[in-house]
Amino acid sequence: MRVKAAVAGLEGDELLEILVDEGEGVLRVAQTLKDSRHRIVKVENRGHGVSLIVGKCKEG
Amino acid sequence: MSEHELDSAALGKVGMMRQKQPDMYVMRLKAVAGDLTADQLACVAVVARKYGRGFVHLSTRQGIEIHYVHKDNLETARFELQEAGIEMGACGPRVRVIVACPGDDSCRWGNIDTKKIARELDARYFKLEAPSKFKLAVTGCSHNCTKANENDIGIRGAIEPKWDALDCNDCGLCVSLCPLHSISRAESDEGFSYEIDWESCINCSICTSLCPSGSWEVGRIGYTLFIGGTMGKIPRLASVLKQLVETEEELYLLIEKAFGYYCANGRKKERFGHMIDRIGLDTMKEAILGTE
Repeated sequence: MRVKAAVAGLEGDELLEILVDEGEGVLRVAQTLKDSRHRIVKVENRGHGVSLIVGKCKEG
Repeated sequence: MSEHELDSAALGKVGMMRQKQPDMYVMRLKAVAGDLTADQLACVAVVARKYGRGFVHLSTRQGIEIHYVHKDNLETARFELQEAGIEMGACGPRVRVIVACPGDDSCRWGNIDTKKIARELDARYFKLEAPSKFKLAVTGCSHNCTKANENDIGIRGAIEPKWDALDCNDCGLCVSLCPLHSISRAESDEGFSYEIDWESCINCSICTSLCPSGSWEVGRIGYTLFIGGTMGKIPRLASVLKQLVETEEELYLLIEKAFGYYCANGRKKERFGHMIDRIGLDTMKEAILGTE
């Protein structure tokens, strides 16, 4: 829910970095972003976690 | 019904098992793929109240059992269930009720129509005699909710992903998502690409379902076919007979061959998987796949 609320507030070219646990954590966040049609700009592994850089919803 | 008329083996054939309490029986009901209608459930409730003790037991194989039915009421209870379209399950050395997950009907991960396959297998195999009990399960994807590899025959929905460079924005999410770390990024003079290690890929569809740009697409879709799984006293996880069976026709042909081979070569009370261990998986594969 926190991810959903945070990405809903993105405007224009704003980007948001989300840090999640690998495995189930990244799976759940990826599903949320897919459902809300947000743009994932870059994903990087950070130790036992994953950093996702997310942009505003795709048009249409 | 008098005591001498009650033959345990015959009753087992029609899904009725003797309890440890004298004259009391369990009625095992058939629910292919775990499905019953609301009206059928209402009938089960009535029968459980009238002839049982007002409760049902949910089995590990998606079935419903009515316990504490007196031997004198078995036939009447069975008749009332049949009136509602509820058939009895099976016990003993024969093919049991087919188990299935919801599949692509309602599950976002489901790759195949599990219920359709379960109904077809039910029509072809239910209650057929075998050397020992014989269980089949259908599961829609690699989440493996119905535990395909714990069954004598297990069918798991499978996809073979395909990467399309055109829409890919190189975000790298797929590398982090893949549960088996089968996806890697490569660089060459022609640019970047994403590649799959087919040896470790479990055909799960996570990459194709969650790729934000739709660059991972379903290349091929089909069924992973497992043979020889069992739990019980000597558990054995199933072996993969074929990683990606592409048509239903081939799927049913391979199952027919596998079941036929077991019936011809299995010893009395020997589970399919233990027969495979005795004769060798390679021999078994050759027998089933060799003449494809």
